[in-house]
Amino acid sequence: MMTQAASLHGLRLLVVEDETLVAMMLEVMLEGFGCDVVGVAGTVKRGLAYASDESLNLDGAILDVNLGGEEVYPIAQRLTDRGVPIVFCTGYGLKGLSPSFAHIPTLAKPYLAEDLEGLLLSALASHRSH
Amino acid sequence: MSRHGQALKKPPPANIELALEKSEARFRGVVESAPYAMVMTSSDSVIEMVNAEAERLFGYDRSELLGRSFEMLTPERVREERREQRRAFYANPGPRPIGSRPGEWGLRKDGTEFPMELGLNPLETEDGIKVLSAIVDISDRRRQEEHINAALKEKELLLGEVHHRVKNNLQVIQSLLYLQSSKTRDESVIRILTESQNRIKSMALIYQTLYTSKDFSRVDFGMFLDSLAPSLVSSYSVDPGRVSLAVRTAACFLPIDAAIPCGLIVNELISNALKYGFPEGRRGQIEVELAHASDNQVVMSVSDNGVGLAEDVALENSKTLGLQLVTLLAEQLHAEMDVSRANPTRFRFQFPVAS
Repeated sequence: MMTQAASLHGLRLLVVEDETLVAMMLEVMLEGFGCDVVGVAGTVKRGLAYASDESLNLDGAILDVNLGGEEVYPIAQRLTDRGVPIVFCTGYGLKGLSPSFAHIPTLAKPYLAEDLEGLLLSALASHRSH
Repeated sequence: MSRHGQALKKPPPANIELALEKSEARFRGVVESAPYAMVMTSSDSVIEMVNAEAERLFGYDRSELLGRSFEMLTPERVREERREQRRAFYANPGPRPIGSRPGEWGLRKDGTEFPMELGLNPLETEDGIKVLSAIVDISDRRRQEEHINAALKEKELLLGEVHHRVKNNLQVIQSLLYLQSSKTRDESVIRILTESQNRIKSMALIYQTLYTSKDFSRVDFGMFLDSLAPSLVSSYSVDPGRVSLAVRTAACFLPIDAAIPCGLIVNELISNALKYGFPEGRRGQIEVELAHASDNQVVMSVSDNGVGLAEDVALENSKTLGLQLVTLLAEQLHAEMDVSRANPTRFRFQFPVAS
């Protein structure tokens, strides 16, 4: 919206976030970067369905770590197994991350559009699959 | 006085034995009625005397204890350690008060163990040094401690959860403002909404800092500034290579009621410097410093080497919300505020904090 990042343009992304308004904001931010949000999930179950759907041609996913008490890790695992790059957004700080995912780029909540854009540029742009 | 007088006289031999017997009976009486379990051992750890409380505590009759080793009253796993301790005690005999050595365990006749505290007193006798041990069962105290610790841990968890939710709610408010701004093309409206988002984000960051540092009574303000400052620079789309930001904080912790106004003041002043201080590609630096002036005084300053505050910018009755907030929040902090308008532009605040 306010910034147009050529290198994020056209990326097909999955958003997993249980807080409706934050998910909406994330969607608008991503569309502002020129990304294509192909799925928004608020639960592990829905997120897993998206993560397993190869027809979505995902370029990446933005995952909230805590989904109403459930942890997002099964989705994270499914996506990394498939080679889809992911980033985490968490309000629990980096120390709260499971050690097996500690290397995943992570954005601390609250974040602004610019924080998100910077993280995505470094984490996803180089993984573009198409 | 009269006892003293008697001692000076040389009593006949029969009286000495009688006196000794009397004194020993009195000693046994004191030991027997002591509220602690008491066990007297010889230098090779053989039990020579126990009191009623010791029988009750360990579940033995005294006939089962006398003549046996003190080791039978301690669990197998700590016996080697106890032998070491006994050697150390005899190398340097002297009273060891109860509770001076934590982590002692007792073993009952029925095989159950209990945490205990042990006090040792050496007694010099004609058969060598004896040790009188006073033993207290601290199971109840241990249980109470565990209960208190569990309650404290629960309090910490709940407090953490509350801060976390406050922060989540602030993020939801920020999302609403963001969504609102995405619906308009009016640059001035977008700017107002962005500034509001920054203010809310800086409050949310205070709670984030509290949550991640696990210390809910005070905010690590250096940690807060380290996350606030870079995101402000990027929110005004300023190239960090053109206007650099330096945060200098000595270890400085603020109570939450000081941290929130302080955080908002820094937010406004950095924003102000980014918006007006460096026009037309001017290069420079913004500096934030925070340190204790004394145990209960903190000095905070935000300075920049930009173009400076114009003389017509009023501080007290400012027309901009940003500067109004700065003066009002400084009042809330009971801060003395000094302002230099240029070379460098500096806002300095000194305010009291509870030490």
